[in-house]
Amino acid sequence: MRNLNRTIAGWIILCLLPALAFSQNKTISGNISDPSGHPIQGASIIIKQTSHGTVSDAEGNFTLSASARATIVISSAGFISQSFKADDWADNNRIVLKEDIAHLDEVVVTGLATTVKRRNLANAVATISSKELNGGAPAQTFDAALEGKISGASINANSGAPGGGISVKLRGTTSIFGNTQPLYVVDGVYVDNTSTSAGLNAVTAAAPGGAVTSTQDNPSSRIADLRAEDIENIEILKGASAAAIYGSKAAAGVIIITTKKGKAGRTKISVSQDIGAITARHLLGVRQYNADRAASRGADAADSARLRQDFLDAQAAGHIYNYEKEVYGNTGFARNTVLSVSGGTANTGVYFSASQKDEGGIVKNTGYRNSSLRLNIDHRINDNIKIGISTNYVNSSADRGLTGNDNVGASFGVALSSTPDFAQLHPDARGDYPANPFGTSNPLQTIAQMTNNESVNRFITGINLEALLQKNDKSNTRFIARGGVDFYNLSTTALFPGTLQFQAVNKGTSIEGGTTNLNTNYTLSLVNTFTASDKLSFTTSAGLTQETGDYKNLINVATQVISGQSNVDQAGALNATELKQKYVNQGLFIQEEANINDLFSVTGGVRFDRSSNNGDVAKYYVYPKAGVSWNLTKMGILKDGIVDNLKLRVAYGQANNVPVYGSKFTSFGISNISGFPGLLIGSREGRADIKPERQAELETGIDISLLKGRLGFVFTYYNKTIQDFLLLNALPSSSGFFSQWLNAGDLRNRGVELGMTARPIQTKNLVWNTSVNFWLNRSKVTRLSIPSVPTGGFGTGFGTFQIQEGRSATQIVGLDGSGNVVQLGDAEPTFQMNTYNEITFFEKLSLRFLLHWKQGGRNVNLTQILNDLGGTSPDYDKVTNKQNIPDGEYRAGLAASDARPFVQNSGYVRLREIGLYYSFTHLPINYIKGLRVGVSLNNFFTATKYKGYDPEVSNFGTGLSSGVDVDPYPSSKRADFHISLDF
Amino acid sequence: MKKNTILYRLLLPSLVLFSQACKKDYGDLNHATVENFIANATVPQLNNLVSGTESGMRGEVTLYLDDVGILGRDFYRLNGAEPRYVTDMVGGGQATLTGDNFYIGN
Repeated sequence: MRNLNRTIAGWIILCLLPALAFSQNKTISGNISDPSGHPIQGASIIIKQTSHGTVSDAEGNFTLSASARATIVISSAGFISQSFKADDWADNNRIVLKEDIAHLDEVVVTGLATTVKRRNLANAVATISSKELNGGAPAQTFDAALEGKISGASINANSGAPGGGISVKLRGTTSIFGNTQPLYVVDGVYVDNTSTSAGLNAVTAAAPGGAVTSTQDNPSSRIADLRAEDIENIEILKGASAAAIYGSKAAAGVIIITTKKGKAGRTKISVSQDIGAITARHLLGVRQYNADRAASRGADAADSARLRQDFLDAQAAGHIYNYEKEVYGNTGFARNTVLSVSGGTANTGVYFSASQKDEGGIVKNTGYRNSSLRLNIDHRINDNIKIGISTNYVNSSADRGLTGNDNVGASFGVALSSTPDFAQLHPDARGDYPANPFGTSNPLQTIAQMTNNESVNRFITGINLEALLQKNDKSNTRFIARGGVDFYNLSTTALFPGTLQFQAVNKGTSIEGGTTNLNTNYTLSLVNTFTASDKLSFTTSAGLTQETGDYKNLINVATQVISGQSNVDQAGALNATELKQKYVNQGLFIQEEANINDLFSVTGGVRFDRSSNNGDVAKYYVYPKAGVSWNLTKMGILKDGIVDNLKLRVAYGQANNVPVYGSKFTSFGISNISGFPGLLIGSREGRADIKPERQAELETGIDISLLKGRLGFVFTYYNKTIQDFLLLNALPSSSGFFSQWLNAGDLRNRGVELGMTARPIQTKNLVWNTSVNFWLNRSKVTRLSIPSVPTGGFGTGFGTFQIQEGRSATQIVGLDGSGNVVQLGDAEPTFQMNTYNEITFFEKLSLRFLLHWKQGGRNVNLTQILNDLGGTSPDYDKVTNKQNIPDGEYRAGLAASDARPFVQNSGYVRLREIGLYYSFTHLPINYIKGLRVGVSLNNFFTATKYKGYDPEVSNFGTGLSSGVDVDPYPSSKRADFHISLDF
Repeated sequence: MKKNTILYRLLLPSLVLFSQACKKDYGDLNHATVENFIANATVPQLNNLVSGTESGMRGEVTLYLDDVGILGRDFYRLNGAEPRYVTDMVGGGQATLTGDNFYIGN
């Protein structure tokens, strides 16, 4: 105990130790500007090996006192840093920083507490700047703003429903049944990205068996709560070789988000306002009926005659409607207001933002609203201690409608699929809707009367403390503590009043879900930088991490609801479902980074991890990592000239993915009798020895920078293996169980990422920046210890995902029409490409666009077959098949016996974003410092042969089997007008 | 030397504390588990199992009687929808029992 007290005292003393006295005997002053003569505000001027320094003011001026022997380093984001000996400094020196076009001086995160300049990096770490994220054509939610921007990623929107819901897979499939989504870290806080079902399965019965929730309930992803406007930059660690140090949750990659911080200088106030309109991107169209076609729907002669007469009556009265347009043809109005204040002194920086957006959907009564407050404070307590605190409150609300698969006929798309244009669905003068004679629901009534809302209140708070513990000429040691809390309360409200046609039996259903989730995490580390000489330095870091999660979800389903009520106790029957999950992951890590004269940069590290989800909770699993980068230009092997920088790099690392919560237990199910509560053994056998999935990734590549950074190339190859991936294995029932979790096999992803950045034109009046990326991934299941398992879809009759040894992990198999199950395609695209361009005229007018090309990849399109079966597909009456019958009828006849027509190419070329912005710099009113106006189009042009609403779709959400298309909420496009003022 | 002191004073004790103190197993928060019942089950736990067995019996006893009745040649079960009663279960022709779930579950 005494030892412990001494230790604590030691901590306190070390943390609060005042600065060692400097011999400050020279005053240095100067001015910093960019190559075109504009002053650079907020550039940092630091004495090398210390944290002592200052920043430049609005005119680019600074003063600093330093010892004569000191080296002064001048740096600013986006510029190449320069260093000077204080001795050689002339008074009022004018420093011109060169623009860092190739981003070689960009600082990239390489450890939990350490960073390195890109020029020395052993990995290909993708970065998205604030401008790329949000400066083109802003998307509705943060997750949608990532689309098409990450080389090596497969990003797919699950549906177009307001509020987001996107799957991000970095470098292929990393897990079959476990988590496939990357870890999001916002200012050091591990942010939750759970998708919580609102319990819609209780109404739609999309998954059989009477469960309240299913994977087909189309929930949003919680990461969508973040505001893209607050983000300064995003770094993406795509695999274990870069992300190993994040341990337990890093197997699917890590997305590190840094929000904006206040910088020293004048306080800048910005107000921006966007106004826009949202419409459906593409509608399928509907079948044009005539009297014969109407009659052909009849079951018998009398029915046909009645339908023929119904059609003729409707036609005579002019009551032929395009219901698809009525359901999905709404124009949503969008507004977004952001106020931000940023500024500070040399010791304190403050960034504050308040924002609100409110957007309508393409279906009436749907939409999205997000209000957010953020306060980031950075404060340097003294020369040795600095602290950063970031806080964020978000209130978001999404009305998502009722779409996707259902077995009741309640969802909009399924109802539309069987409703012909001569059906009469409009309300009468009293507002009462007629029953739809062609389906089990009247979609117009459902839209008008139902509610499906997700509403979130969320706090994210992070703390970042850095204390200099020790310092001398050669070495300094810092203590770095980072951590935070992410807490949210999610309320889901799904109300289906008894007046709805499909509620005839239940007489109204009210589903109220309440979710609370608390995530905490911290990392405590010691970082020592040892500078042996100008040419050799070592950074040693060691520390410990902990992450906890506590998730509670309670869903009450009330039926026989009193008219006009939503409260679940105002009902005839009530049924509750609860799900609780809790985990703690702990890790220890040590990492060594060496830099040898910028020639070689060597990194080695090891992490020990354990998790309460593992079979053996006490056991630490060991995950090593190592990386080397070798700079050939610095070596002198390549003469200075065309090539400025040529780097070879190789990195290796391992990370894990913890087992699914509860997979180690054999649970009892409830089985009561005559008033006594009883237990029967459940159908899933637990595995006490369940292990985490282990990912090992080897990445190698070349980075080349040419023509003073104006042209750069990055080539990367990776080989990523996942050992012991988890599968839900079907057991023979003689075992007494149906299924069991198992570490069942190994799979591998191999891929290539090629990137080019260039500035083809650079004149005073015209600057064109461009980047082009190309990437592809191939996966293969290399070992499977159990028979092949279907993993998502609706069986081989329609095409299903199937894990099979020797095949791609995302293959789709199905019946070929002759009774054989064959491979029909692969969800994995052949390749993807993107290009982001910014063309600036006269430094004022800026055109930005993002083009994304996904070549190949297959979806399972069941929207089309539902429309064929319901007799409403737009091309139903075309005859292109050999049997000489209508195509719709032909395709409907293949259902469940030939899956080939349903597995369709989902490639596309999409102009995701295009925006044109103009900045006014000289304004007549002197307190307005800047005015920007712009127009943008998001998701406006898509070229695709895919026959659904959108090639981006996933009925099953973010799991392995994305691309199954069952009447989703159609995707939308948007046009916005932007104006922003700086004070 | 100073570096070593820091390591010794701060890091090592933290590591020891960390690795010893925080090992956690939350168990299954949603269900009773076999692992909890298997050793030293309490009387209320056993009562739950008894009620469960009774309840399970009511649901499954007809299938059980079908199975043992057929295997013991007590009766010959004619079921148009389920020919395996007279093929697999009585060894008709080449039929053998499989790991299928029909015999002991619904």
